[in-house]
Amino acid sequence: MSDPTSTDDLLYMGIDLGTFRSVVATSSGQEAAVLSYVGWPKDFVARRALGKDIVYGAEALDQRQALNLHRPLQGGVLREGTALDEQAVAALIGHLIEVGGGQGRRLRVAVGVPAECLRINKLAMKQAVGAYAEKMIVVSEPFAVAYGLGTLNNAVIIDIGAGTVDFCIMHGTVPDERDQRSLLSAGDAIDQQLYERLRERIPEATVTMNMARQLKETYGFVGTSEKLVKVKLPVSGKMVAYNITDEISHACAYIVPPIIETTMRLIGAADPEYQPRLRNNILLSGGCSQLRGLADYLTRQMEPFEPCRFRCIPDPLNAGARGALALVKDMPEEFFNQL
Amino acid sequence: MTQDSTLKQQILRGVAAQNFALERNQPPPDPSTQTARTRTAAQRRAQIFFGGVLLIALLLSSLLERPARNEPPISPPVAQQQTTTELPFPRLTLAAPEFAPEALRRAVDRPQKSTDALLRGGDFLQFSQFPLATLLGLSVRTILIDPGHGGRDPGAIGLNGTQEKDLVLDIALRLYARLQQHPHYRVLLTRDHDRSLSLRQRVEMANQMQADLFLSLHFNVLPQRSINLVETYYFGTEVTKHTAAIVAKENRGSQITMNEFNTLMAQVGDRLKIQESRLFATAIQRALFAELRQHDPHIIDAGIKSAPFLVLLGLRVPGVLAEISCLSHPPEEERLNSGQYRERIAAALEQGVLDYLDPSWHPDPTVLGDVLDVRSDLN
Ligand SMILES: Nc1ncnc2c1ncn2[C@@H]1O[C@H](COP(=O)(O)OP(=O)(O)OP(=O)(O)O)[C@@H](O)[C@H]1O
Ligand SMILES: [Mg+2]
Ligand SMILES: [Zn+2]
Repeated sequence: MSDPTSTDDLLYMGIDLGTFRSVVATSSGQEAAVLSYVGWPKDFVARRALGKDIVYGAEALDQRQALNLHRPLQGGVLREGTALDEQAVAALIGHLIEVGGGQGRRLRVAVGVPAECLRINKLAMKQAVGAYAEKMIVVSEPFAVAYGLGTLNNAVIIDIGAGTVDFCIMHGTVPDERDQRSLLSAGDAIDQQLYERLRERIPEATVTMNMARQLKETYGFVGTSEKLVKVKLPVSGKMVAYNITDEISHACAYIVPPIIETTMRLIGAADPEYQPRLRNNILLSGGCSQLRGLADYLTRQMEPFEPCRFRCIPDPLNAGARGALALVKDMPEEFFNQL
Repeated sequence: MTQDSTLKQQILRGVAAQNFALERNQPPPDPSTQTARTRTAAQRRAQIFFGGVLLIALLLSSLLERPARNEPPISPPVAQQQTTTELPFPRLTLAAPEFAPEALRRAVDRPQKSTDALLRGGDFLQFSQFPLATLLGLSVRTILIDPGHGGRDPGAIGLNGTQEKDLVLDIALRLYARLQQHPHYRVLLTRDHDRSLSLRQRVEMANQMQADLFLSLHFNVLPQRSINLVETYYFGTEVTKHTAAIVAKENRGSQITMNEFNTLMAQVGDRLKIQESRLFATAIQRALFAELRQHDPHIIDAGIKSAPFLVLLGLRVPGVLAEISCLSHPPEEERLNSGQYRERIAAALEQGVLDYLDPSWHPDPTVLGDVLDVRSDLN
């Protein structure tokens, strides 16, 4: 018989619940990512064809014709009254736990959610997830990233994801509202910009939002590019080459000014004594921190105001889940016993 | 113990405390069936309402033009972070999770029928004297503040050169900071610095950001410099000489042709939205007038008016446009250059928003404003 007070058979899990992509990392060393899509078959026929009652991630995106597709945290929050989105969040977390090998195990879970979602939907999130893991902590994404990096003091974390850019100042305590900001234009907004620009300039080509995202991920850059971006796009069945350097450049630059403004304001509002240290330790995480040239460009843009140093962290896509895992492993067991 | 691990302990305690606070604030899991039923009914009405509104919005969005080629990108709405350990909201529990998309599907599948039914349904009318916020419990939470004009469009300009775009931005930021203090609301701005935005972009933002309430801020100019007045507009189809002039001034910068405009007008039969907007306008107007008269005893309460402002037309949610006061009135321009005065205005607007959202608030049925004939020689 297992001793209920023993922690030997516990499985710890860190989950980064993203607006586009969710990641799970476990104490047994597993890591897995699932696109944050959940779909239910539209009707009986679709259910029979799919052979299942619920579909997740990339598969759900692929099969969207046959599904009622949900991307529950799009826009960074769960909408009040969107019961299906809540169910989708719950299902997604259940799926991540399963993918992480957590079924039938005693679990300790930390979930990082977009900062704005934490403010507005804390309880809804917790309820959505409760069925799967009663022993669970919810924290904001950028805080989970900071914890994982061990940068608990004198750092600014900017998590540039799909739906949100989350800012968080670390100064040795759990960040509160003064230390956090969210912007609602991130990777998705770049996709949208790129999509519109391409459709406008090359109306004859077939471009989808999905293609726009892939183009951004493959060729995205800010500042000046050493190479031209030449791609082949489908035009009535044939592939035709286009130079889309300008479109890529403009679309990617779209998210920069608000990031600069917010960084300046956040740091400007901090204790003047610590401001120089903060300015020198600005860390970029999240999928869109991989836009080429971003850290350098931000550093250069800030020069006329206050010299700052932006750096990209390693493994920006998994840092949130790893941080959440580190946090849940460090959390004393007494805490969970009181839950 | 090293400094690092002390820090870690401290932070972990903080995380634990936050999560405990969350647990404690959890509402009783089993609300009485009675409340559950009432809420569900209200929620269902709201869903059908939004279904209808969505339909209209779909029609509109297919008609609104794409932006001009060189238009600067939309400034992303800004949401300020505020972590709170309190329970942000009493949650509405839905009995049948399917019905939200059901209602939407009904509205979209049979547009003609359901829209008509929506408009004719006496069901809605009996609730019309209560703010939508009341019907939905406390569910209004995203407020989008829209400082008018900006960038290359200065809006109105006072005799001393004060520009409308700067005033409304300043007041919007103050209002933002105030509303931000209320943990129930998510507050967004269409712009938080001086930049151009088309009316279409503003509406799109409201719809994309799923705003629940839209408040556009402006200042008036009148040909008679001696007059100072407050008026608040909501979207409607009535056009008088005076409103025509204001509409022309505020609609500048849209890329909608007259023809499209007429088509759009014909399609807007969305009475509930108009009624809600009217209540919202009433609340704003009352609060603004109460404040401004303390600074100018002669200021005229021009009341709430409906007019076909494009910025309000494509909205799916209640929206109003406040013409706060007259920049053309020199003493007013002077007052507006004081930060303290602008703060008072922001406080009044905050009060207006809170009044509208307060379930116990009822509008005074006599708020119609003075009838005023102003020559429409503005442009
Ligand atoms: N190499 C790349 N270059 C640029 N962008 C990328 C790259 N790889 C992924 N992205 C983009 O990063 C975003 C996803 O990042 P991430 O997984 O951090 O987001 P998320 O956690 O789902 O979103 P959020 O943090 O807003 O909740 C998507 O917009 C994706 O297109
Ligand atoms: Mg993320
Ligand atoms: Zn104006």
